[in-house]
Amino acid sequence: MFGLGIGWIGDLIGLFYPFGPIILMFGIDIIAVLIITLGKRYITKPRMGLVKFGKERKKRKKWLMVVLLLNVIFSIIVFILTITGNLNQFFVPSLFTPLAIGLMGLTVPLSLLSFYLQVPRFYLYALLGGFGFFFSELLYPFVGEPWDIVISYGGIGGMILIIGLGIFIRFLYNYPSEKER
Amino acid sequence: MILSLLYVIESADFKFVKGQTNLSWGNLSSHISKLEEAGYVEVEKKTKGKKPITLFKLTPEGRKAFEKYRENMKQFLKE
Repeated sequence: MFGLGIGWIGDLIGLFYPFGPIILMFGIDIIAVLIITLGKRYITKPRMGLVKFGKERKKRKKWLMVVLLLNVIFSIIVFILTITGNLNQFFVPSLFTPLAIGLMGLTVPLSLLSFYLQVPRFYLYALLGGFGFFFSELLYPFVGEPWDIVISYGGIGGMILIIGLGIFIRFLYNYPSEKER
Repeated sequence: MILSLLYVIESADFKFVKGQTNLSWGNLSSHISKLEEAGYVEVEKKTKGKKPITLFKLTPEGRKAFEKYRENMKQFLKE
């Protein structure tokens, strides 16, 4: 979400024009994946130790894949309807469309993710993410493009980053490394 | 405590079990030895690269014993 918000700044500063937003957005996503992978290997595992979860968790992971696949299919359908200009015929009031897309495209799958992974704070992320598109449409008449997306998604993504940072700092405190002990 | 932790996971190493149970190295080692003697816990020694790892896993007997203990506790609390 942070990438989606900040990516549009690439357009403003003429970075890799006209691909700036896409490059920045995917660049931030790649950095996020690298942080998770390397963090798990060099920070989490050395401090917490190794654990392999049981059958219950593996079953939940399979259901999760189904949910995420349905979300991808839904996103593709919305994308096709948007580029063919057919999306608005499904929803009448103008702000209802972004709200419905946000709730169906982000809130519902992220809530299911929270349920299956048993991570309660994902419910908050689900709600924030779902309303992001709606907030950007609300802001558009006042701040215009791309600041509506930068403020809404950049702000929401930034909030999620700060929460994550707080959780990470608490983890480092609760699980000191061998040297710190 | 050790059995209830191992019941919900497939396997874990010494460091993880120690962190979750808050037992000292010596205490944990002693409890694990007793559980291994009773046939409830399986201890597997492996190497990851050059690092030795000790993994603990609940045996089927250990799972049955924990489930029986859980049933007994439920009955006791109902009474």
